[in-house]
Amino acid sequence: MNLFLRKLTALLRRRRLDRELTEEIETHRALLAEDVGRESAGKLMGNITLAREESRDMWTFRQLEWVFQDARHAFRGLRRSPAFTAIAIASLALGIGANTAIFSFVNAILLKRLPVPEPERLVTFTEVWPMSAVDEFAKQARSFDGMFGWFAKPVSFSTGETAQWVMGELVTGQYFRTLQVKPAVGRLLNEDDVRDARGNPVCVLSYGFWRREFAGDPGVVERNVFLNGHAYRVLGVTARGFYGAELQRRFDVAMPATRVGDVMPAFAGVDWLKGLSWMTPLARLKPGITRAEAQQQAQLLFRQVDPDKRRDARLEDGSQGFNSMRSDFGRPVLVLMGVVALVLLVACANLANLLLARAQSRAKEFAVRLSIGASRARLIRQLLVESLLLALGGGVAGVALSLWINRTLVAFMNTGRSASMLIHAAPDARVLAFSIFLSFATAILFGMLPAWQATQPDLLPGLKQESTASGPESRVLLRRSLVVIQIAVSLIIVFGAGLLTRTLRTMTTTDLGFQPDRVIALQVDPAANGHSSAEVTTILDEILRRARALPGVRAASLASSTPSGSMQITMPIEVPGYAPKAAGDDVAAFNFVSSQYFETLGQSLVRGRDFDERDNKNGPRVAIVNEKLVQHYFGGRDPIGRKVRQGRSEVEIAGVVTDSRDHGVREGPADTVYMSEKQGQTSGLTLLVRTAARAGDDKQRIIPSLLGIVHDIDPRMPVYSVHTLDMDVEAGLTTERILGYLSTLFAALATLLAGIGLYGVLAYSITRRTREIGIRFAVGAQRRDVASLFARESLTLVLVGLIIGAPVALLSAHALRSLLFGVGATDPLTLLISVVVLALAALLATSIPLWRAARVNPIIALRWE
Amino acid sequence: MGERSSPSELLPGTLDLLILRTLVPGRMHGYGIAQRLKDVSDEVLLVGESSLYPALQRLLLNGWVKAEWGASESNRRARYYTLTASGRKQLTIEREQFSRMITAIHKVLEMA
Repeated sequence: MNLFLRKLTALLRRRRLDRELTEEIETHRALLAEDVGRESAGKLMGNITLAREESRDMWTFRQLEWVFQDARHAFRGLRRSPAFTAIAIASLALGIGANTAIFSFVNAILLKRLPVPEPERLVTFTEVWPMSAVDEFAKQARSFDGMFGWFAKPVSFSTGETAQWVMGELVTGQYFRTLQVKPAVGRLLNEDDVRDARGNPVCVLSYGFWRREFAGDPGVVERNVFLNGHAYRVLGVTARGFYGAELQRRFDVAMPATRVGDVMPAFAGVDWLKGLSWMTPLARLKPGITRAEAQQQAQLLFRQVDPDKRRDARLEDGSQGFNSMRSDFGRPVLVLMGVVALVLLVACANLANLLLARAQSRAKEFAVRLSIGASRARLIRQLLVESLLLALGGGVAGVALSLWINRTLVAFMNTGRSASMLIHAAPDARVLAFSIFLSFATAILFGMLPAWQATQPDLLPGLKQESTASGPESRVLLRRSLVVIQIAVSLIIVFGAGLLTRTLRTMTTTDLGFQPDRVIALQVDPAANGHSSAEVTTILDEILRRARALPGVRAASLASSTPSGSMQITMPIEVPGYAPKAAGDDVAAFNFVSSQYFETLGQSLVRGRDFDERDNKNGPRVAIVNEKLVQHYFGGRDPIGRKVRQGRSEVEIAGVVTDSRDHGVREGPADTVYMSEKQGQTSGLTLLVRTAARAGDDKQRIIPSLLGIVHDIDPRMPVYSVHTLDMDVEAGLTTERILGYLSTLFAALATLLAGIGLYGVLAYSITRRTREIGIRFAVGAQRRDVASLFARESLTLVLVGLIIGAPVALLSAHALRSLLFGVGATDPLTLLISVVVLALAALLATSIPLWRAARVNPIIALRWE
Repeated sequence: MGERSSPSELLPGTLDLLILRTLVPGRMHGYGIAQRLKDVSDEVLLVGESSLYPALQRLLLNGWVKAEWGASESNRRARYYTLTASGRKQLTIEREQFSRMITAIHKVLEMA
């Protein structure tokens, strides 16, 4: 190491070293001349130039300079065989690109940490807490260096004219202190601001939002902005690089948690301070305190702070902040990472095969070089440098490819998401490091074996002319094993892709129980714009009335939850005469809807009636339930007129509708209670509109009309998440689609590579045995005989590959188990199809060289050398 | 006689050992080292620059000696070499190795 450092400094001071040496030798010469006289001095001095050369060599990285020489040599060699180089770099680029792209997601979801100082000291809690509990805990906990509660929701933002939806964070007083965020301008929220916010609303903007909306104008501090229609004073802007407590989303504006009433106007009656658990806590451990120690203290304190609750405070790693993607995408990206790693393995095997063939054609060159004294290590190094050059080319192209894949995938995941909810997963330095590492690793992986083989000393017979045609048997065996590995690994990928594709098919073809196509959904919240609850009812009724009157509209309704949407209400119910069988057996989904809801969604009323004008605030409380609930609680008997209790209120069943899978395809229909929105929730509703079943795109025409109706009533009222229900259903299938499409793509890639590998080995084998084929023809063999000779070789390779691959594929499919739907991890049909697919690909790869073998001209073949 | 002292005829690595040993009493410049080797060995070991200076560079690179410029007896600018701590250690190691080698050679020469 020391030697290395000294050499490195020498590199920088080369001139000086040289000068000093020259001067030193001059001195020597002069001193010698003083002693023995000038003439004999010249004789006595040895070869001075040699001495200088030798000394100079000692100070430099001779090895490194050789590597540059090798690289130049390899570069020239690669340029001479452009086809080989192109195939090698393309397959490497695909392999490295796919790996880098998937790794950028592994990084964004599983590895990345919040960009704040010392994120490893952050801890989260498993539960949501009441606001008061967070504050109390923050005040008392001794093991924490700050703690806050957090809640994110889009809010309407306006500077006076038009409004837009932006991402809001509701936070308690120690938010910025805990995350150690500094302001870019102004100052940030503190505990006093949050406490006093009821009378003095203040907010903090994110750096990105400030640049976007205010062009980075520092004058924004102390200005008033409107959030959900309420005036807020801007305190300051957070420092650049900080984007909130969530790992993959970006906040726009941070507000005091005490202003939750502005953000959630639909729930005016709720005791936000103490009654409801809604804040996710995050804390910073004091230096030197371990999570286990903090856990113990937290446990004790938690009992004092929240004595009514039975639950425990469990501390978990908070270095990623709040990571909503970990649970949804964590496993899928790991599965994909495994798949692309296998694809890269196949690509490497392919390259090793290509390089072996290339080395074969250079056998004579190596033999000559070895025999005139080149060391084997030197030759291996030269070949490795060539591999490295290929890998670097592949790596650079791969990184470019990965950027494109990453952008496409992120865009795909973000389809249907509003701007404020976008997911961010851009690659960073770690991803780049990964791809560089990958390039080097692959170079060694595919380069070492051929280099070792090609320079084996027993190659010396390679000097003799005829041996180029036959070549050593061990090399043929190696190339065949590589093909067997390729086929086996491809089978694993194809089988996995098959399972994921069948999962996707099952999920897209499962009957949802409602028709999402042609249903437009949009959210309009008059309460969020400062209207009183009486006004809200009038406004919504008016919107509904005018929407139904639009030409091309079949039906329209309001609903608190939309199928496949994110908002779901579940509550325990009681049915007289029914005893719950287990904990959670009595939970039903609730949806507050207006008349025409079932018509809008395409569910049919089986019994009883739909909601109508009778079911208003003062009318008797009625409910419509689904068949599942009837089966569960009433054993399938007619429930009309029977009562269902929820908490203190009681409703009478007035109708029964068909079941629907409102919570996504994977979950079956839930027991569902529908109630009139006028008898329950009157805000936070979604407007649903079914357009006429006509060809042509009605959506484009009807959406502007709907927006027109809303703006006609109140021009300042923002409308958000305008979308169609099939977009929601699609969004629920994002993971499955990504997995299905990508795995199929990678399976095709692996199959192609394996096919090329097989083709290469056969073609090589035929070339090698051309003379033999010629002799066979000469003594009367038919084309069929010759073809079957090579068909058998191909068949053996494919069979061995499939036999090895099948059990491994079945075993590795267990990793997919939790991602599958409607198909087992060991599904025999899928395995059969995968085997057939690979066999067909192998047939294709075999037929071309076979055709060539059958057409060998015996005259030419016998002259073959 | 110049031929006799050519480094190829010394045992490999011996020159380093001899230079290190020569530097034990104190600092010396390249010419001084060559002279001292010649005097002490009764003019048997004549070291030419073509082997002396590469050897000195090697020792420098390994950190066994360090060099500084100074004035010679005849008031010339000369580079003086000093033994470092690790150089002393290296000297002990090489001496032992050398003795072993010499003993071995003796044994071979004295065999029956």
